[in-house]
Amino acid sequence: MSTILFMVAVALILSITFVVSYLWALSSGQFNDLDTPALRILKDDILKGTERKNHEQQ
Amino acid sequence: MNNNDIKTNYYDDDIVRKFAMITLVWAGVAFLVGLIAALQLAFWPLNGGLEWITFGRLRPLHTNAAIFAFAGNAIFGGMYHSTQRLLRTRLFSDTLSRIHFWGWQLVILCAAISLPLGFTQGKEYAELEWPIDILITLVWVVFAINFFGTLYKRREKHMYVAIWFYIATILTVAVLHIVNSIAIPFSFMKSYTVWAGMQDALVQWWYGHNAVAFFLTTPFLGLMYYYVPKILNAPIYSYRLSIIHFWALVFIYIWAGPHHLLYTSLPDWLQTLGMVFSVMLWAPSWGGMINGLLTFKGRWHLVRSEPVWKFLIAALTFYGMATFEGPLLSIKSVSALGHYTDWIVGHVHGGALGWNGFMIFAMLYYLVPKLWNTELYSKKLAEQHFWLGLVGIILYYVSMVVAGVTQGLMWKAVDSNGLLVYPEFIETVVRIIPLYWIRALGGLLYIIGFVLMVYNIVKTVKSKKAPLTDTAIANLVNENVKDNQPRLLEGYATVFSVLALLAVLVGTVIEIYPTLNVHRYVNPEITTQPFSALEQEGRDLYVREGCYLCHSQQIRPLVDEKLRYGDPSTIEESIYDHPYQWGSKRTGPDLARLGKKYPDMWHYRHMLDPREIQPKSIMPAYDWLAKKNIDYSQIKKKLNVLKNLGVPYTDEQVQNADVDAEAQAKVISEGLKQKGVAEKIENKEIIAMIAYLQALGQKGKK
Amino acid sequence: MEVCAYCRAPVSNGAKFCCQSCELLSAWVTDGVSPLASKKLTSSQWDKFNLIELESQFNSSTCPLFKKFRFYIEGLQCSSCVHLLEDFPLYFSGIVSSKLNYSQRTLEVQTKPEVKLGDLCAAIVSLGYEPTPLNETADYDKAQQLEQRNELKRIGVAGAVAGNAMLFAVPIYAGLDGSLGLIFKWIMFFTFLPLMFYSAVPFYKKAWGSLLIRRINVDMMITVALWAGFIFSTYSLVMGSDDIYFDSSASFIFLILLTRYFLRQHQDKLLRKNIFDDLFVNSAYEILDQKGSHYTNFKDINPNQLLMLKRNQLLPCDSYLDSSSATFDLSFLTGEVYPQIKHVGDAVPAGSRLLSVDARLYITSTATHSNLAQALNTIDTNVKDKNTIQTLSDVVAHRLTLVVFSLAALFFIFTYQTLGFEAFKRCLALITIACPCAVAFGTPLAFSMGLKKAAKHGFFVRTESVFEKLAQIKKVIFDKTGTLTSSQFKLVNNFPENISAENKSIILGLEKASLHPLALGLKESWSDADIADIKDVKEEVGNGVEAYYNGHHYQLKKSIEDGGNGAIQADFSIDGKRSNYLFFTENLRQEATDVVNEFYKLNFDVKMLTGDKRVRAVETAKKIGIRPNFVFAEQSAQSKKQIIEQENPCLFVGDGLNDLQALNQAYVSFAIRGSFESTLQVSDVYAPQKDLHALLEIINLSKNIQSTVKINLLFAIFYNTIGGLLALAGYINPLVAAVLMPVSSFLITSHTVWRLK
Repeated sequence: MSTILFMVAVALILSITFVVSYLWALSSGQFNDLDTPALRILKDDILKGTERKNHEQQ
Repeated sequence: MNNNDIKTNYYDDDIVRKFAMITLVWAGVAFLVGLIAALQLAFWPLNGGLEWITFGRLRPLHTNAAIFAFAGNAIFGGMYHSTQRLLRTRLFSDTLSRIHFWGWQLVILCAAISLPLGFTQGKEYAELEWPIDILITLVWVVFAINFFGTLYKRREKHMYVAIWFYIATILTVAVLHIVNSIAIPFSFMKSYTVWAGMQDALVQWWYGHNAVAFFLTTPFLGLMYYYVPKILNAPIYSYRLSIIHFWALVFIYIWAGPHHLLYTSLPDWLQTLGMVFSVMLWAPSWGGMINGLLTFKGRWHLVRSEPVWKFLIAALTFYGMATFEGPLLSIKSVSALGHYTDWIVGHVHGGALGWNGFMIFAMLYYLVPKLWNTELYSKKLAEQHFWLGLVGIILYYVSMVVAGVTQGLMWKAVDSNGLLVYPEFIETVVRIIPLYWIRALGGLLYIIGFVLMVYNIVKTVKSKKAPLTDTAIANLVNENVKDNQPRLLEGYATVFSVLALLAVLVGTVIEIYPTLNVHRYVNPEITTQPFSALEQEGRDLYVREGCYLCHSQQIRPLVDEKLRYGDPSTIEESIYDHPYQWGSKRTGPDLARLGKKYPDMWHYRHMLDPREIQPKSIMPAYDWLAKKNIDYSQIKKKLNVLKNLGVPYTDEQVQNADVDAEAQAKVISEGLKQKGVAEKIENKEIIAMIAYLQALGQKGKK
Repeated sequence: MEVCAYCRAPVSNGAKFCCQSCELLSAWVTDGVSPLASKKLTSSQWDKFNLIELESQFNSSTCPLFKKFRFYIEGLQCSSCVHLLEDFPLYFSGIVSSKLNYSQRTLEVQTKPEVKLGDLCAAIVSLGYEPTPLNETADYDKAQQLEQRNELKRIGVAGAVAGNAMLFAVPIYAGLDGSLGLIFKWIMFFTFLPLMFYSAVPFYKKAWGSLLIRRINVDMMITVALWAGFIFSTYSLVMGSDDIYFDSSASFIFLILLTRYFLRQHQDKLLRKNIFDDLFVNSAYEILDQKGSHYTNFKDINPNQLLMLKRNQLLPCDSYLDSSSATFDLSFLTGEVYPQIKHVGDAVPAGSRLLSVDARLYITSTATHSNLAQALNTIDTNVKDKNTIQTLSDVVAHRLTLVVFSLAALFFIFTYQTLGFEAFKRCLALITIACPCAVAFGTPLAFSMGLKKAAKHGFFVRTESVFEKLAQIKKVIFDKTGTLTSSQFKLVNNFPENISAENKSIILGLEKASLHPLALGLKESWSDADIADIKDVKEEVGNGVEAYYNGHHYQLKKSIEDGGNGAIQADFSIDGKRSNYLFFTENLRQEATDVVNEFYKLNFDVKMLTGDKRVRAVETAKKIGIRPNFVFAEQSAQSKKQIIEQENPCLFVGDGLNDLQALNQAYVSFAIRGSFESTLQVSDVYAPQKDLHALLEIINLSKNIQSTVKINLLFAIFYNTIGGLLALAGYINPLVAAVLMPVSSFLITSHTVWRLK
């Protein structure tokens, strides 16, 4: 019985933690830009023009 | 790290190349061992009469190779490759990267040697003994430092979704491994797990299922989120969806462990919890699949000409299939049919061959040309690989599901008189042997496809003549710089990691903590006797030979099982079992109440050659048990360790362990001699084994 | 299927790249050609921004070692845009970092001190984007963002409460009782409170609002259901019974909040609050003052200020021209395609677009008080008016609410004796399930989506009732001039038959710089002739051109005579004597025949109404396929109006410039050209940039919208009736009702979105 009560208390504390984290994340702008990251990863680090020439000469 | 250092302006591609190549090597090993094991089931003589290559010894080799050697190296390679580019910085430490690489290969090597030799902890996917466990922990810590170090010195402020999955993987696997592997050694290569009986079952499957979740799913989802967009050159379908499904997945997955223990003596509330959460898990899993598949939107017409895209689509589809079938199997009534059968094997391999395997192949086909700065040697070969692999998987999956359902139904069949329709277990085995052949064929096709891939990759790599260099990081702008001072990026990475860890710990604590006080669940009227010294010795042999891989020791409270095996197993009966041996597969019958069912002679003949008792048996012959001697020197140490773990041996019993064992062995061997056994079998291992088998189900009595 | 050579996105016919960014990136990656290579970086438009006083308004950096600018970027299309813009540091020296926010379309650039804002803007322009520097005050979206965040917070809390409540409810449903059961129930009660007093607050506010104006609305029902459930459950809890519905109430509120959030997201993207704001929101306007000048947004321009308008900028306020002459494009206001030259002192109305370089204007009204804004406001208010079907939905919603409340009350009164507590439960279920949210969501959504779709395709639609009317109509009447014929002119004849090459070249030389439709027609017809190089051509707007050349005076002027057969005549004179006559007619619109055909297929009656001579009218009618006995020719403006009156209900398609009365009179009217302001006063739909196919487009859309709305209403009534009856009969408990209600809203919303996306 005491186990369950303990677990319940832990569960409630944890759920409050998660709700608070969610509210914080929202306020601090974590969800402001959900489009650019998905596009940004598509870029390859291809050396451009002169950089490549320099690199290949190394 | 000085940003002006020339070297740090390049990604470390060399380490990725290493991991990529070694993945192929271990893939071959894992697949080959798998094929052998499959053929051994279809054709028992392939056990070869050698103790090191029996099914019981090879199966863990296969699973470890597939999960840790094949998938493991692939994950590391992919993670290192993608992480560097997502964070726009070189890996934290070249040295740590290489320690990670070589350390991991050392782990695999140790596994490859120790497992056939019989050094096993007797827990699925965690068979490796304690020194190797420690090595794994060290390598993992190195990995973690390397990864989090890279994370903290990143140049890209935003952590892309793939990174979240990597973080969750590293943290959770650490927790899982450490908790499940806690063991007390009694010799250099042998130990007893601290968990026992029902508790061990729970911890084992909390670990086992989450090994699937956080070693075979989350890192692959992370890789998927990076490689699918890269390969398609299209952004992932919905970034918002990935946020939701990540947190849901990470939180829910942990709870699903008990679905491996439905209808066992695990407490009901745990079973229900496991079942409910497993069913809920379907949604976030499909969220990932949908996200991946819908990225192909508007580009489906290109699939026709791109074999790598086919691999990706198939991988995602198999992932969807497996994560639908899983929740299905987690429903108690479905589990009642499927548990212990080959259906589970089919389910696993649909996921492993389809999702993991194909995902790795796609990644390698994409990576290798990039890393070697060249083109793939032959798209046509890749295409053929795809079709061969696909047919192979389908053959495998269908044959095993059919086998599983067949067996399940046959076991359950009870006629109108209330008697078993198939009272002889062997009937259910023989019926599915043809399906074992088909499964082996499926595996063979999969391997042939893989061989094509190896050829393709080798030709690709060889085509590159110029020396290999690392890729330069373009746009070295560092968001870390503010007012010309470098600073640690905000601790959001830390916050995130802590939250992810919390999410994972919730399920862990809620499920495991209550069972720490196991005595709450134990019926005080029942006293369980611990195994005698000789019986414990025999038990260790049982574990060594991997008997638990084909025989279960847990009778479920189902009508047909009561008829076939006897009363359902109770918690008390296995309460002192370090490790628990409830098993998860019945290639052979359940042994929970085997004790005193047959005379010693029966066991003697059966162990040395099963076909003497049952001509159609597919069990290997364990004739070396009659040749090898019992090692009495360890017995006292063993009992001492067990006593410290809570098994109620008296001090006297521990002190006299070897004497008691020898005495009991003498009684048994005398009995056998009288029945006509000519050979000198006193103090041979077979005696200990017989002692143990006769003790099964005899220990927990009112 | 062709794909872009760089990013492999699908690309249409023959193009190598899908967008300029891909092209620039490709050249850079393969050949090392910097994206800024061949562009001139200086442009007078942006030079002003290089001045320190101006630049400092936009520099948000607090550290002297760096400058920080934010821009609103137009023209973003794909991932290559992200790459191109974020790689800025690599090909523009001095830039430290460049970060794009694709969702909000803003670019944040950090630079070293030596970089100038004007050069930066010019560089962005040469990459193919339109930048608007943003200063701290110009953050239009901030309020909206804040509102959205608060909504998300409420939803998050509601979701957490619902999840927790359900978690604790499951063991109780499974039979948990005793002290532990009681503890769980009380936990459910306490965790429910944040939802009652935080997440559900918007419902209370709206319910109160409607109470003040003595109307019943959906939020009132939700509030009542919520509080009834809460009080009921609390009472049960205290009394020790098992009828506790915290979990279902919580999920009910959570789901409604979620649905509304998505709906609002959708609607915000659809309908801009104000068409007027849209036109000007992204421009920075330069105002002259004592210190020189400063930049401001259109809302802060005041009368008596001097505005320096840039080439291609749209004027947001009414004004007088303060500098010497400048050329404006007033087509938005008058429909007149030909540019207007204004001189100092001339009135220049809001909505004019500057074509020449920099003009100084004396402002006479604020943006919101300009004539244009007032005209647009009438549209906006019209849009907010209810039309018949929407009012029908509203009436349905009100009546339904009333009926449900009455029914619940009556039922309760009559059955309380026999059923006791059960009666309350059933009433609760009834109220929950019969909530007319479906109707409240579905119809406005359908209309918003309709308007959005129309706007996207280039239609200005006056009110939503237009859709309903268009869906019913079966008769279409076309005006001829300007509607069936285009505004282009064709040279059909000249007298004498042969014009000398020399004369041709002189005529073309005279018309070289002219944008007059006749001039364009001439250039089209004589496209391979030489053009004489004539300097100092004098143009009399709308009338003709003249100049001295090689000692002679040449003039091309619109003739006073009628060209006969509806043609326009222009006279070419040398030294005052007419030497050639040129005849022009309007081109028939290419698609006219097709469109008329389509109308026949739809079983429409097609007629023509024109002031032109019968002969020509019938000729045109035959070409298009309209039967001669359906042609009303030689009509005056008055008689046109009468004919429309007789022919109503009909769809009249006209050209705003000369059909205002007819457009006004028709049951539903469609203007294909014309002055913005006046056209929208009288025409229901205005499509200035489209061809006649637009008619069919909008009719199809209207039919789609109507059927969607009707299906929604039918479903709502059906569902409410069945659900309500089952609830009263006791087959649906409040828990199930709470789940079913959002399901119906979801179904209706999905149906609408699927039909109209």
